Amino acid sequence: MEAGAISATSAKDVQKALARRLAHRELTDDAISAITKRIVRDGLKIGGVDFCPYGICIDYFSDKRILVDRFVGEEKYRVVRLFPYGILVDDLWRLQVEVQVPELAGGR
Amino acid sequence: MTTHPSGCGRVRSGFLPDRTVHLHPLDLCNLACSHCYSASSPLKRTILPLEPLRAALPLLRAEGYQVISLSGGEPLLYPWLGELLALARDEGFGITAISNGYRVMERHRAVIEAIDRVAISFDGLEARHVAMRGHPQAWDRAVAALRYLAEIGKPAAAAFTVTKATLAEVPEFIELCAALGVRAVQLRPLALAGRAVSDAAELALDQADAARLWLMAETLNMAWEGEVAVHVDLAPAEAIAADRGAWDQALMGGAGQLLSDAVNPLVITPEGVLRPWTYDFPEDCDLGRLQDLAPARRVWISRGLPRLRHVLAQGLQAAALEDGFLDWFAFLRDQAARPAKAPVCL
Repeated sequence: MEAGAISATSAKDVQKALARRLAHRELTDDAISAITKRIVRDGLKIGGVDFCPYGICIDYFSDKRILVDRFVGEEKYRVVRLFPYGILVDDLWRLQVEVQVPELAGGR
Repeated sequence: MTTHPSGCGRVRSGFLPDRTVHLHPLDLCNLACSHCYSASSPLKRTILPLEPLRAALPLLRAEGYQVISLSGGEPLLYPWLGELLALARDEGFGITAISNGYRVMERHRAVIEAIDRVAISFDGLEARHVAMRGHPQAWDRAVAALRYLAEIGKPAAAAFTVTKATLAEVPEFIELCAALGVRAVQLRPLALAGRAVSDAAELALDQADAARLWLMAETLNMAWEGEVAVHVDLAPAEAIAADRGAWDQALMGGAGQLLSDAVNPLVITPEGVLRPWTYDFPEDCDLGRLQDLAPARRVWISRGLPRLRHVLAQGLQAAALEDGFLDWFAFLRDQAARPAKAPVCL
């Protein structure tokens, strides 16, 4: 991967560059497997995954109460935000986390 | 009761947002793609007459279906398409279609306008698309179709078959779609069915490719947010198993169960066969024919539903034991086709 491609200025450009790295197999299958295992957690619905050169922000949804202690015990997160949808959908919880992923910065 | 995360409150049936009939009214196609799951071609001649469809549409509506999704063969070659669309519209169905784009042009504007959303199918960027389609104009016609849809202000989508060979072409394809005003791209892993089994099996994605594609789709969806919605027909196996509640209505059964509670999507083949979930689902799970939707014959369909509940329950159980990413309906098909310890579809 050329250094120029990853140093693009907008978040969307960074995401497009990462997609190209994924498409052209500049991240190994092992790295992909490690990243996806960190994203897929406890069968939670994934509402969105936002990538930057340093890590991933993930939006999870659940219609069951999320056991936060257990959740954060199994993974190191930079930020965790949990909020209920309340009036909008009374049985829906949203959990936002930020996680550092060195594989994304390191290419292979 | 499971509702959409959006909170719109509609009761879901399975993983699809709408209760959908995949109608394949013909196997005739102007192309003979090397991976076609329905093995359609210019030599095929099975065409579902309009009359049984005319009778079936209100019955399908009464069974709770909301959307008719037209495929084929090439659906724009269906000889009674205008009448079919008018009948479906009168019944209150939403209508979508997937086409190779050859007939998406001004001459056919009336039928195109009668379809809510048209998707054009692609098999890669130009060289690979042409090779898969076996026709030198295939790419130009498909791109021209997207341009035409944009010109007339019709919401356009693209369906892109992802293989080992085309995985690397996905980002560039999305970029092209954005430039053409396409609103949504569906990334579909190659289905090992029909002609693909003999002619394209080596191109199927493996588990590592599936994980890569899923991650890529998530990335692209964020990257093109607000311009092109990117969807991939893959989900984490454990999320599928955890979302079992989406199938409560299907698994519950009971006398008052609508067909759309039990089977979503429902496939109708060019022969008029009612088939659960995918075109290539094992035939011994077929539910009957169009005429069996009539109240006097509905009992034949009802008799087939317990088998499907069993297939579904086994599929969800099997998904819970899987790692990685699944194309759910293909997985369910494979589970049903697999020689079971106890017969699944008798």
